[in-house]
Amino acid sequence: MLVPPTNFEYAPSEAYNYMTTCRECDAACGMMVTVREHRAQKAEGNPNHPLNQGALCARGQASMQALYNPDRQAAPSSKAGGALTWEQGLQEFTQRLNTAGGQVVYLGRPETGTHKAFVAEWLQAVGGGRKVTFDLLSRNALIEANRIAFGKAMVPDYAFEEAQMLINFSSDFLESWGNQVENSRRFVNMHAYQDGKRREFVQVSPQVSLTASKADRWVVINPGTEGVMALALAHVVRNQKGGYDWLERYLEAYAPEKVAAVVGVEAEKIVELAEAFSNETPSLALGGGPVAATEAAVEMQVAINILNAVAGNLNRTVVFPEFSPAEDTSHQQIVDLIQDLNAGRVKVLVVDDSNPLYGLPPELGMAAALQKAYVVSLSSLKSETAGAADLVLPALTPYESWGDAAPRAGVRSLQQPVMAPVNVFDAKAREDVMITVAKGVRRSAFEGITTYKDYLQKAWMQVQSETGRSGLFDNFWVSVLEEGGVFGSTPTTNVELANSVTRVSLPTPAANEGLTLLASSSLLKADGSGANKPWLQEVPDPMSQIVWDSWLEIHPDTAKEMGIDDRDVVEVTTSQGTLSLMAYYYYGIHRNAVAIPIGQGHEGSGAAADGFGVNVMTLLPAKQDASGNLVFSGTAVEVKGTGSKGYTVNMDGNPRQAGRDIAAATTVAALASGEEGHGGHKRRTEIYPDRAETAGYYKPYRWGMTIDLDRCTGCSACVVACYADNNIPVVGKERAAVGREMSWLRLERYFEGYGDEFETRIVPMMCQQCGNAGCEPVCPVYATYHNPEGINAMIYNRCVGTRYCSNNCAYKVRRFNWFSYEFPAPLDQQLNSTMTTREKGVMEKCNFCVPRLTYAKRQAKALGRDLRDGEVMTACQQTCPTQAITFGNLSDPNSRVSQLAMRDDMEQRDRQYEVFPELNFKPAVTYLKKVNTREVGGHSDSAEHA
Amino acid sequence: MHAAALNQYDADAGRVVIDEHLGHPGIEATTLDYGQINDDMLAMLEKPHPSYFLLLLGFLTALVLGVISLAIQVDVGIGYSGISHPIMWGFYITNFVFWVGIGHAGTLISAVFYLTRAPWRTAIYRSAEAMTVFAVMTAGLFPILHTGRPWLAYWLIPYPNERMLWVNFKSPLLWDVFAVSTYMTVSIMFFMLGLIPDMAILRDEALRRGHKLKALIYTPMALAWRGTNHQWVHYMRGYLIFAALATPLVFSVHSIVSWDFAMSSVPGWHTTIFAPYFVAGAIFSGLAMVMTVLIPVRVVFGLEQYISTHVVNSVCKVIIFTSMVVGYAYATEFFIAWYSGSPYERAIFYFRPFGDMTSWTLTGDHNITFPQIAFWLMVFCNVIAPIPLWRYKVRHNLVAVWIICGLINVGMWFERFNIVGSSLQHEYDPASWGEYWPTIVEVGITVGSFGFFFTLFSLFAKTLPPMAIMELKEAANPPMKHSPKEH
Amino acid sequence: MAKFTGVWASFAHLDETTETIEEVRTKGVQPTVLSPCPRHEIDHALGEPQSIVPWIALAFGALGTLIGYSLPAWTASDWVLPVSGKPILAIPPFTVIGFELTILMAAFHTLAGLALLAVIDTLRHPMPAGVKKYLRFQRDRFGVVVRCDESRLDEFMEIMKKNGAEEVHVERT
Repeated sequence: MLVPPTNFEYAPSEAYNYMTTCRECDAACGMMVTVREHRAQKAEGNPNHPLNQGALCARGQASMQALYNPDRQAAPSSKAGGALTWEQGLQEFTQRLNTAGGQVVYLGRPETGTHKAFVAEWLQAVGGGRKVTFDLLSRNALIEANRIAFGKAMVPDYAFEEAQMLINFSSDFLESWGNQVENSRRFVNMHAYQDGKRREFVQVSPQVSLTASKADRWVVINPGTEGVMALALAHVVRNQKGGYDWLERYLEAYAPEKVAAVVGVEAEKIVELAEAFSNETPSLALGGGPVAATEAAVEMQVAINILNAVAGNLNRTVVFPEFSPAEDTSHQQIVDLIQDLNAGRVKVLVVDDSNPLYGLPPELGMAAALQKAYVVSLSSLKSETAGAADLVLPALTPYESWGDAAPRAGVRSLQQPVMAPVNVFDAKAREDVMITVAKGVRRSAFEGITTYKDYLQKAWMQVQSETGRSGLFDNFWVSVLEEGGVFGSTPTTNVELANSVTRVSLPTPAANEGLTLLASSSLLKADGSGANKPWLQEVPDPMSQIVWDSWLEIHPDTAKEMGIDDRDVVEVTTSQGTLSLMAYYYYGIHRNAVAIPIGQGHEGSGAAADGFGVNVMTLLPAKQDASGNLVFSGTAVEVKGTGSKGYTVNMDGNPRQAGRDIAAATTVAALASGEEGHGGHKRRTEIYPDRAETAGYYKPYRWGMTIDLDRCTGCSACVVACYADNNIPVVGKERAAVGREMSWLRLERYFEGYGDEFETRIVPMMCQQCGNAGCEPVCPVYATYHNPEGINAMIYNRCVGTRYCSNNCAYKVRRFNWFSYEFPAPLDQQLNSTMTTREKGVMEKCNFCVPRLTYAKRQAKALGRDLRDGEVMTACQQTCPTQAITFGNLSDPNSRVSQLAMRDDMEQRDRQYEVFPELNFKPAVTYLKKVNTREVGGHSDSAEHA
Repeated sequence: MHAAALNQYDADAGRVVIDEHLGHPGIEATTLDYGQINDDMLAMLEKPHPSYFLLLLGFLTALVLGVISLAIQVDVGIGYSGISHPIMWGFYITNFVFWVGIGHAGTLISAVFYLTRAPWRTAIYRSAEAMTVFAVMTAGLFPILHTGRPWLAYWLIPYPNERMLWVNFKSPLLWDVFAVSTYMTVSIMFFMLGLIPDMAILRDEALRRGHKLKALIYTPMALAWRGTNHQWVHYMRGYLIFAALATPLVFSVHSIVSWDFAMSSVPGWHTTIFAPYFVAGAIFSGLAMVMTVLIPVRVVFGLEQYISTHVVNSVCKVIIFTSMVVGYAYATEFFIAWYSGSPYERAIFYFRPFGDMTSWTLTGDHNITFPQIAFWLMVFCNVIAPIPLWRYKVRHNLVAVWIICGLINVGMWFERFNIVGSSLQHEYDPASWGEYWPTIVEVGITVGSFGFFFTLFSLFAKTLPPMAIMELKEAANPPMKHSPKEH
Repeated sequence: MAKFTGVWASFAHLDETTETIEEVRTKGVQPTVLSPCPRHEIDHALGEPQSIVPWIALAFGALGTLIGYSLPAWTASDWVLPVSGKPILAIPPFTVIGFELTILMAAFHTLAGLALLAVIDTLRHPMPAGVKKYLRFQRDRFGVVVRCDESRLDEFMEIMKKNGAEEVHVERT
């Protein structure tokens, strides 16, 4: 669907999809929101959008819970006078601006769209002032380095798919570094095993993030030595490839044997890696992220630029657009702002939803500084910063208001209100409020503009002429609403390495003799904005499998020396203070480092966020790198065990799969030699006839699924999508602790091997819709049975709750309603109206999104035909950025899923396998093995030998 | 006297010589005359000692505790208990299996030993049968109250409803419904049948002694029983048939209960040995419970003549036998787990006694949890503890026997927990391995179940003849004018 | 209460009772005997045929089997719901139901049958009122009841007395 139809009739199942833009992070993916009964019920990616191409990340999926968050700002209020009417609020705001005398600061998120100009015009209208952007996870160091190296202060476009080999220096590009969805897709297209080959991905870092867990090799380096390593590699690569003679002297200092000690990697290993890297052209090296954000972050990025240059990747895998619509995101602005505030040079500070008070290290003194000015919060959600504001004017969420974004040159994405504002909150669009007050300050302000929509349309008239679309603007506007934006190609320019880089001297990092603290990024909480969304708290962190909490990643060897047990409470002390949290044994971290994920430990961001975990930022000193960015890692830290056991809630029953090959992997070599497959997973001969022979069974559909573990990055978007589409309740920390979580789809994480040679495997596990299900025969009342389309149907209303089905399910994917769960208002408005909610005492589980199937089949029937392959997608499949999940009709031999699953000729299978084939449950879900470049030790640990 | 001499152990014959006309060995009551038997038995039904009420109060308190716990759970949801994913069955199913097991001893004694003419059953079978009825009543509660929606439990009964929705006869749980309800019905009928002549006795004795109220109560219960040959001829035949029907039933019931587990795919459950293993266990625990209850009864009511050491002795012998069967079953399980080669089976049978394998844990360390405790407790109580019973001395020491039987009860409860609990903790999918700890409601309901059982039993002991008076007479010397030899 | 004319006596000893029974039977009359518990001696003396209760058990047991198999079979085919690829009509599982219902039906009708037969026989052999008032038959006395017409009363009283009856009663109603 597109713009609201005139004949809007509200059958609960009738869905209308509106194209808009996701504003959870500055990546600004295109979003398609499903609206039923006037309520936005599900967020999906906009298939037209060039960046995310229909997929959405976990946070994008969960943005729905920002819209319906019970802790949204409900009504205008002031610190002095408490609750206000809008008139009073606006009046107060206006007259504050009047008396500000131009000493106004708009503190907001970096914008790429019309909003930039709007804020500028607004500031002018209210008599001057400036905008300060705040983005905790800024990539400013990279931008600065690119300015130095190439004279282009912008983030390049990384052409993963072109690269023959990828070296990643600590960045978390599959999590919150850049556009996660696009990165994932393009990375997997490069990395996934295809036509007998796999291009290698090497992680060079002191810590293994979810991103790093996809790496074929993990090179453990000392914290903060990414840059040195990059130059060491560059040294070898240049010697091999030649060229860049003027770099020779510069790189001399970084000959592997010289830096081996600093980096903590043997020279031979460095050389070997470098040679591999130079043999593969084009290749790609990238770096960044909080773990690498030391004082030398800019220099490190320069070093990586040099590496890319000598490896001949410039303009091939590292491509620069002509211009970038992005705003400067240097934290220097914040530092200056705090100075100005303290000096009293700011009268009125306007803050949007960004939350510096939570994100910034306390040492910067943001809290105190905010007292110095009159703070007006135009936020939609509760937050620490909003809590400190003198005046709170509730803003609408992006779902309810107009806006736009230009995440990349040539890509303009429109954000439209997909529904009327949620009825329980008395909020107004942020920009509309600003326009109103501006007019209050100066009558002439915003001539001929009453709402931000007008302003936006004016801007888009510009866009129309730029993109050379002829015709009436109204038609153009409608087409934009339909499309979700204007998606042109990105104009690029060639760059080359500036000689000036030799002037950049990389400081050799002073290694702490003690432990080093790394503030690692969090996939789900990101800069902390994710924390107040119940889904993102309940969905386990894919690596640690911990929910509703923070943890301290510590290497078992280190911990044992210090007498710290797994799950012990430890006290973590830096110069800035002490936090006590849970120690989590993790092989994926340098022995002299500990890591704490960012994003938890809120105090005033709502019920779902407050009091869960700790805020690692409070441990960091207010240090900055050359680009003015905050330093996240490298802080010396002391860890002390308290001896008391902790109460973290982690969802993995056991960290290892005991050789059961639930998450199976093979190697390139094995595949090449063809020793995989050959009916390796052949099923037993059947005693009983196949259900297909039962009248009316599997005709025309038998639904099935394949999951490619080699493509799966563990981003958890599918899990959140499943929560969103199936009305799955969130149970909270205490209940999750005793295994009452309700997730129909979970990511099982298994570790293989020990020490630095360990391997992580992630396998999405949902109901396998078995042909010979274990759950079915044991149900005394037929509450579950095998339906004609091969789905293991679950009839909630017939369920008595003996729970035998769950006992007998080898995959343990059935969830039981131990209580009558609630969806605290207005979260209940998000409930999918084509799906039931379940009552206390009944079993539930994944059903391949039956409502979607039914809907699609009805559409097809209206057209008088059967469904075509790919016409219907499950929620998890739809949102998967890497298309690891394929769903379709197994009865149709030509469907994509049949092609992938290869159930008909077991002989030809290589990566395909079903979980627990020996039980002969005949699952309808086929997994494709993860492909490794090497065998991991301890992988074949099996239950036999204890 | 002459008759008594005949029933003593005859050294030359190498056995006890039994004369049909002189009743049976081991029951001193053979020399009692019919009237005295009546008087002794009725004495037990006299106004009880205050301590009895104290005891009863204790049992009632336990029962009330259970009822409250249950009320909370039904209101809040089954989640109030410690059961959770993946351990979907816990204390409740454990209790169910345990109590059904307790029930089996009664039927065994009243039916099987009746057919096999084990005369020492006479004195204890009535109480044992009562136990059966009460135990099965208790057991029957658990499958219902453990469901998520107990108020819909009747859906398990195949009745024609408006949608003609039927039940799944392929589900072991449905077999349970049939097995347990059949068992309950038959036990109750059997129990009642045995009571009819005794009711007539109570009626007439009440009339004789002019107890109007008692007479009023017992008259309808006696169903106009007169004890004419026309009544006896059908009665005795029917009784025999009942015994013949109850015998296969008792073996089927616990087999079917065992199939609740054996029919599943769960490692540690999915095994063919379960049926005989469970039946043996049932008899084992049942007899232990009979002793646990009857030894105090004997002491309190001074029934040395009826529940003689010979009776205790014989029960102990059966206990030894079943203990060995159970021990053998344990061993076999481990052998098969190893022999099967299935990693899942091996894993679970390693886990039960020793805990996690080092190859499972992240860093290769090792830890002990609840199941391991349960396992070793089970082995000690069921296999080690009964060994002293091999000695004649111990078998004749009531205190020793009573303590050992108590231990066996504990052990058998933990055997059931070991089966139900531990397997579910470590199934196929390591990512959903879990731990199980009961909460207050489960403990409360478990305690309540014991309260329920013992309340019923102590009420029974004071209102109905705890021994079959009629059968005691049958086993006694008939009053003879002339010595039988002269016939 | 049916009309009763005849003699009844109570005995303290089993052997006296059996002798009385045998003697009464030589006179061509089948007495009714009351005893505190069943004794084979009495059965032998009376020489009456065995009860037919077993046949009832057999018949209804068979019926139970039939129901036990046909109910699952019918319900399964009435609404076909495949579970775990098992055949819709699966004999082994149904056998369990068949077995249980066999036992249930047999047991229930054994009880019903023996009750019915006992009642019928009792009605066919009415009791003199005195017997009910004489409360020791459930305790320790044996009773012999002979139904006869006026003419033979004395004859039977003699037999009773001769065999050492405690009490001998004549009743006419």
